Amino acid sequence: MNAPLGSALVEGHRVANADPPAPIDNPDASSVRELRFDDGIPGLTGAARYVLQDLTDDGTFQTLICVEDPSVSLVVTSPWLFFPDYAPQVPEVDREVLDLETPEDAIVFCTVVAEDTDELALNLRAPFIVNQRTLSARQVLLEDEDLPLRATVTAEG
Amino acid sequence: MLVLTRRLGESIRIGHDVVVTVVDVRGDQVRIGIDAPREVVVNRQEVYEELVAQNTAAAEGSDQARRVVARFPANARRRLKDDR
Repeated sequence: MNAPLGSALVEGHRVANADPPAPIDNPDASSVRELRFDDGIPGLTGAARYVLQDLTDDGTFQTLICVEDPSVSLVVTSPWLFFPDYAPQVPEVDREVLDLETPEDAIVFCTVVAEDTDELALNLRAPFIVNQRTLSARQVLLEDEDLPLRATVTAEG
Repeated sequence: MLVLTRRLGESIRIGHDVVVTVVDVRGDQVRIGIDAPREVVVNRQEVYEELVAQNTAAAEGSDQARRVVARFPANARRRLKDDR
């Protein structure tokens, strides 16, 4: 198994991981690992099957692509790359549905929207959470209303 | 829209598995209790709508996001800061 792919906050304890997320697809395998969004992704096609692919060479950004309709894709990233203090509290019901037993079970990433030619907005309020043992995935709407749906980041200088 | 009138403590059953109950009424606020299987997602409507809008923007703008991301030099990414 590659390096840990991010962390989730379970029961108030954060497992810190500042490494960029490693790609889910294993170059040694003949098929890319598919994530299963049993409840789909709100607003998108009801499709359940998605794959994650590297967008940038250093693994900082990836694309989440719908298997049934590859024209549906989202740019995603690990929130901790830009918000190191991000501490999402995953509601118990979501932990149960995803069958998350430990924080290390979880891969966390969030959508990236271009706000301007040099600005991006991360959805910190509703991250995607994947159980890396089962590949079950879900977009989790967090209860903390202070977390923005659009957290802007701009390039320095 | 189906509209039903309920009193404090009364309930509505949706489908076979979801029960909605008026738990408390205070002025113009109503506290609503929801009993549903764990896989049924329950959210405030306006928050859900915002989430749908954001996901849709992400999907429809993914090409633009790709271009913007590619424009960031690699060493700048870790120095990006929250500009709220």
